[in-house]
Amino acid sequence: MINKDLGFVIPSLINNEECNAICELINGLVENNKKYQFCIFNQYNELPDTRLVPLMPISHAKYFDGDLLTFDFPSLVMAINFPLTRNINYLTNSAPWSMSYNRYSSWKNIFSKQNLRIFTNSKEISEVYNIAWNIKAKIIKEINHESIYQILS
Amino acid sequence: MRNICITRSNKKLNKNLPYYSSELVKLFEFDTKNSIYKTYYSMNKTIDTFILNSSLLNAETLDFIKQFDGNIKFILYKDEDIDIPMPESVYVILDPKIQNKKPEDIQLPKHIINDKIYNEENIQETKLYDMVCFLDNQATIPQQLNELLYPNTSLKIRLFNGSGLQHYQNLGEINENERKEILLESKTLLYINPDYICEAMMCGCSVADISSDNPDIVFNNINNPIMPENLEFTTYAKIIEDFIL
Repeated sequence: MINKDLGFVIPSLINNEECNAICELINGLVENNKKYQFCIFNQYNELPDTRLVPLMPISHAKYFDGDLLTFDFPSLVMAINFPLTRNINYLTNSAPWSMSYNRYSSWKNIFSKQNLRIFTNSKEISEVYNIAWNIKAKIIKEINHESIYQILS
Repeated sequence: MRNICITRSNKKLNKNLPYYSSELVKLFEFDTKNSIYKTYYSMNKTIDTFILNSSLLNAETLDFIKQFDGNIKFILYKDEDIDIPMPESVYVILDPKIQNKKPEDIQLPKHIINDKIYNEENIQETKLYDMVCFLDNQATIPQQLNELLYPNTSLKIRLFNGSGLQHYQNLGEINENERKEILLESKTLLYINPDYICEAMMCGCSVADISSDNPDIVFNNINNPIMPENLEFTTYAKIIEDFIL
């Protein structure tokens, strides 16, 4: 069972393939779990129809006390700083610290959060998170609303 | 009050000396890429001592030494074996790895620790991670280390200070305080040069030498790390007192 409040941090919803796929996924999740509350925290939206999910300004996320799901690293960085969030779920296929050299303390601040859960469909990335941060990233074979429901349950 | 300027560099001595600023001795870092003249005049000519790395000397710095020789104390820290003619009044201190020693040169001890960071009061071990390796001053990941990293193995090795080296296990830049935290969290220090063995000893870390070109020796060392004991060391406070002031 999903925590009854689930937020998605998507700062920018552009009319492109990736954002449309994310919205499809979210809509699938909402349609199949009508008892629960969902919302998207967003700053810019050019999609004509987000249908079933209300959009809220990112600034409102600081009052949100449910679980969050993020799809990219900038969104994760934002989500880390929201004070009331229960679990932060990060869906990724990358290891951001290996692409952008930075201070260790910045990365540690993100990847040592106790409420961070990582999901990936890459075995390699799962192994890398385990080696670098002792994080057991769960592997999901296919990204769709059913698999997302499974991992959030 | 003594004002001492030291070259900004990734060498262990350069990174640790600035921790010893006190009411009597102020230690400043300066970048040789910026003008040494600018540094000197921007501080109203109040600098008493310059500590300069041989690896970072440039034509302007050499001119400055000639001009102010006698008025300012110059200490040449030979971190690399480069033969540069210097006025007799310039003190030369040698990195322990430099073999080519003249009678008047002072060789630094092999093990020097920063006792402002590593002291009994602030050592509390919590071993969360397996292995750590520091890549300070390495331009590339050494071959013998690369053999131990993902995807060649799944050993849990975390790398630090590999400036600009792209690898899944290179986790970024750390300062000396963070280095201590990392050693406290790690079970084993893998080393190519033995700069931080003493610090590992103080943080309860075992050590494994991975400098050999023979992979069998490296794997054997990793499987049988040594717990360093009773290493003799001195402190940077003593180095400042004996050689710099």
